[in-house]
Amino acid sequence: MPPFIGFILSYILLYKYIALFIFVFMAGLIVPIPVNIVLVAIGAFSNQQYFDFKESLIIATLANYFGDICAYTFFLRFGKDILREKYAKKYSFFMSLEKYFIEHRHLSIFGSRIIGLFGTPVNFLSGYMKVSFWEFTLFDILGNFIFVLSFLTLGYVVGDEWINISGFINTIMGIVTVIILLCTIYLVYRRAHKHRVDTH
Amino acid sequence: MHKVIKTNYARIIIGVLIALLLFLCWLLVKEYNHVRKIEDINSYKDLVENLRHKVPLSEKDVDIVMPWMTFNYLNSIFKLPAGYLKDNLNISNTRYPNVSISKYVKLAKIDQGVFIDSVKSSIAVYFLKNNLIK
Repeated sequence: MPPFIGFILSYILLYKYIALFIFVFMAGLIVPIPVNIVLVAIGAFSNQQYFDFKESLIIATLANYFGDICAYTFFLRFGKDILREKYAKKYSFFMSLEKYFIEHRHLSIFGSRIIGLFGTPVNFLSGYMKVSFWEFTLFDILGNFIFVLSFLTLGYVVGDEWINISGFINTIMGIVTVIILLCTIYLVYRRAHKHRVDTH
Repeated sequence: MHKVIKTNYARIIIGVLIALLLFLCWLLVKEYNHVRKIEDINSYKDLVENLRHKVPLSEKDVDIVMPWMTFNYLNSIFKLPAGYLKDNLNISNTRYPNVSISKYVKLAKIDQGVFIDSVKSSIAVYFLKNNLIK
């Protein structure tokens, strides 16, 4: 287990739900914290009756949502001015990515809550592309709820053995992330290529 | 020329991702072999008992003690009396039990490995004594 996970867990054991809220909120915002492993640990703590499962589920879902909504609001306000005119317009790949995202925004917001690595880029794109607040909220809360519920349940089921399976979980998440990344790059690149051919 | 460079970039990125994917698959097989050896996860009966809280922690479980754990947490999961570890390990820190083992050993300037071993043996002794009384 990496030392920083131990650091996070010792604070979670000391300050319980407040620490849980802060760490999950920071992860939702932009800080790369392996929330899935933290949630598996808290699921195991719930099994040991040191945490309450339902309270953890509600607090982690809300903390993730608040983190996401802060990032979304920031990019909604500043994203377009900072990036679009200066950078994104110059590259057909980014223009295709924008189009692709808008067409699949519900699935992108929902899916990116479950595969953590895509959370921040999708928050950025949602704000930048001015996705409606309520649309973002609905799919964000739904995705976060399923994400938190899955990992808490996993920790609850495996109990004290959670440390031994954390590497396995991380590897599966890594494989899913790379596969999604490959598919996205392929689809967006194909679209950009088609667009170039059509314009010529 | 510009288009060729872009195509090459895309190919390099996709190649790197495929290499990463292969590495992760190899890692997954390795991790799976490790997980398969854990009896509590692979035995359905143990899993169900675990879910019903029918397996309280005992002296056999002292190996789960880690530096990031707090004394409060250890007292809670092993169902130890609040002052047991404090008295047994001569802990004078005023933050007890709300301090992690790693923080305590840092403040007390003692060896972490040695201290964790003494925590484990204190817990084991508690269970052995209780079992003898019963």
